[in-house]
Amino acid sequence: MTDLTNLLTTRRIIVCLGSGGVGKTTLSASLGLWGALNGRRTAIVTIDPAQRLADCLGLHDFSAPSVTLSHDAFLSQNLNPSASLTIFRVNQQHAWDALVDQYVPTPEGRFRIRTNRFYQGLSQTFAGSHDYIALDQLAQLIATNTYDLIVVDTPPAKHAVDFLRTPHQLQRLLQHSFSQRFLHPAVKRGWETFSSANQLGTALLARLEHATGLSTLGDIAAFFSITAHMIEDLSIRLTQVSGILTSEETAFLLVATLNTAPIAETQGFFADLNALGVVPQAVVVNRVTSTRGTITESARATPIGGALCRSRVERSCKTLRGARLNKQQLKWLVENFVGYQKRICAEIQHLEALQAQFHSPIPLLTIPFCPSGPMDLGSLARLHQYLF
Amino acid sequence: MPTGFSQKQTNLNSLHSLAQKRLHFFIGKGGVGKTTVAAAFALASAARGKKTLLIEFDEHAPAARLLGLPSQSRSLGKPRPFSSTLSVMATTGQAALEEYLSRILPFAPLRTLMLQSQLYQYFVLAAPGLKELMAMGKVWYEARQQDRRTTFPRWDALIIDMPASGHSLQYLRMPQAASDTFDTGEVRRKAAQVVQLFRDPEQSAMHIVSLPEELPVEETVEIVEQIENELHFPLGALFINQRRTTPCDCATLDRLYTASDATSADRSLVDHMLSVAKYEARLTQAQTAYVNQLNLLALPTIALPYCFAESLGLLEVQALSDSIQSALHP
Repeated sequence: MTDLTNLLTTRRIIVCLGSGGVGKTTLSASLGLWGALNGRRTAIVTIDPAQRLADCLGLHDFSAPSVTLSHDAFLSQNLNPSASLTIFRVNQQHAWDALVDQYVPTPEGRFRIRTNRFYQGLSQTFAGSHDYIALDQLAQLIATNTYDLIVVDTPPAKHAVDFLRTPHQLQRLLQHSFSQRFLHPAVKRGWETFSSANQLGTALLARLEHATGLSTLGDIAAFFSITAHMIEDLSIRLTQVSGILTSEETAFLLVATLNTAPIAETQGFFADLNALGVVPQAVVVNRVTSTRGTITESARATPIGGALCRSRVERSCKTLRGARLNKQQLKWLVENFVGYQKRICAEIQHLEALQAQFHSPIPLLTIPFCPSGPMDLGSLARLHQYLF
Repeated sequence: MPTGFSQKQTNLNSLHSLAQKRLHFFIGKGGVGKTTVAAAFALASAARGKKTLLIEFDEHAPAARLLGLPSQSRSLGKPRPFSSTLSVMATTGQAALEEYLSRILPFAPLRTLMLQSQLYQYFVLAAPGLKELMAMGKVWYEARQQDRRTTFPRWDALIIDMPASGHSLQYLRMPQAASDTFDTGEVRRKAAQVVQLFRDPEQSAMHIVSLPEELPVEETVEIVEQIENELHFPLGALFINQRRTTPCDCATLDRLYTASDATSADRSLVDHMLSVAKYEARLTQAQTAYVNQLNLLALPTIALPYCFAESLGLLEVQALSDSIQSALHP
């Protein structure tokens, strides 16, 4: 049994981590597909997938929050799944509105929330709110107990660990004595009550109010007073999710590319992961030049030891004279080949440097570069040869 | 042919006029090489003698590191000189917000009290968009800086390496969102000024960095759509990064397998060389389809060659910068 086979059959939640553009969504889709093909009732949670990827997963109807792929969709690609595959597409605005509908009983209350500017900002414009909502959807999904395997495609982030910081951040936000006071019935009248209770605070706030337009803070107060229950429940669910994410039920998969990120950057990343108590169980390196399989295999596949001198290549090239190539073409053949050799050697070094970041050996899988990317379920399934 | 020529001419003209702008924003999907292209563009601008500031929103300062500047922990928000004409500045929304507060609350003990207060922490957490807004405000602030002696603008050109696209658009959206959201106050006024500057086609350009590959092309089309129709910012050039070129097509290479008179010792090497060449030719061919799709956007375009380097550094950025310069000023 290979390492990923082991992970995907023993863990309930697989979280794909990685910075933007490394292929997290594609990999999540491919892993989820493997789950369904191998008898695990699978859910993929993804945020705003690119249109083409959505198409190849069968997510043509964007208004639907989730789609369970039909048997026909698989059959047309000669795939025969032994369990269901459901894709949850997180739409942050819908998800926030659904939360409000669930928790605020009166139409007036809902109207007040929906027209609250802090709420509008929180649910639409402000960065980070999709992290909260993705985690909340994950919590709900875990609670339903309908899935053997949940693959989480983390939201796009500048730094791969941002998503994992969210529960801490939200808890910090919600458990703050200040927000507790917001939630307390005595301050339901709003912000002014709070600021008059704190003399020193008032002086500073007056300045902050002038600078930023404090009515927004008033909106925050109003928001919290109407949504106290919702926020409390959200907080409880996020605490639970946070517990599950750090338990044995969850495995983290790091998705990376070798695109010349300085080692220092990678080290910073691993320090961040350590600080959060997260140890990735496997690394998938996307967009490598040629080879397949694990690092040792790709080392073995290096043609002619990797150190091939230019003169020998040039000499071999001369045997092609009968082909009527021009000088430029001949030169390119040599340069291209020498460059390729260098690239392979450098990639192996990068992979080894990546491997060295882990205290104990970790499975490292590589997927070759392909500019078109997967176009349909069949091509997502073809990625399995590199992973399993 | 005449149409092709005039298209090329239009491209040249518009690239040349783009180069005259002061604010150059670089936007693109994660992993397309945005930071590298922005740094190369900054080098090109500085090489023309313009006092240039390269701004990045990352406390790890990848652009500064790419240029070989030593890492410095306490330099957030401060321009660091790279050459006589180029400075690099890394900042974050958080740092920009604190800097802003230091201007409105100049009394340091009071400021420290506030920055350390839980209320402030809460305020920042509860309104995360404020940090993005402050980051954009910092760009505006730097654009307005004057040289104390000459009273000329301190920077002739500002090159802004934006966060990955989803986030970029959020940053760019913030000033408008803020002037809609906040009723009164300094922030609302400032936000409106920021929007005005960024929307001014005489001064600003939003450049897009893309790769000739499926997902980046798809995202580029979306970004262009949003910048044009939703955000109403002036579009700049399209940088197609990592463009490969091969002087032989697949069919030619196939013929070569039988054309070699190599003896068996060299035979496997020749075959291997040809298969590597074919791999490259196939990638080039695949890229061409995506380049054609990108061309439909009808933006002035600069294609940057794929270059392999064991680790990307000043040398490679300099080479890209030369490509950009010769495209802008042929």
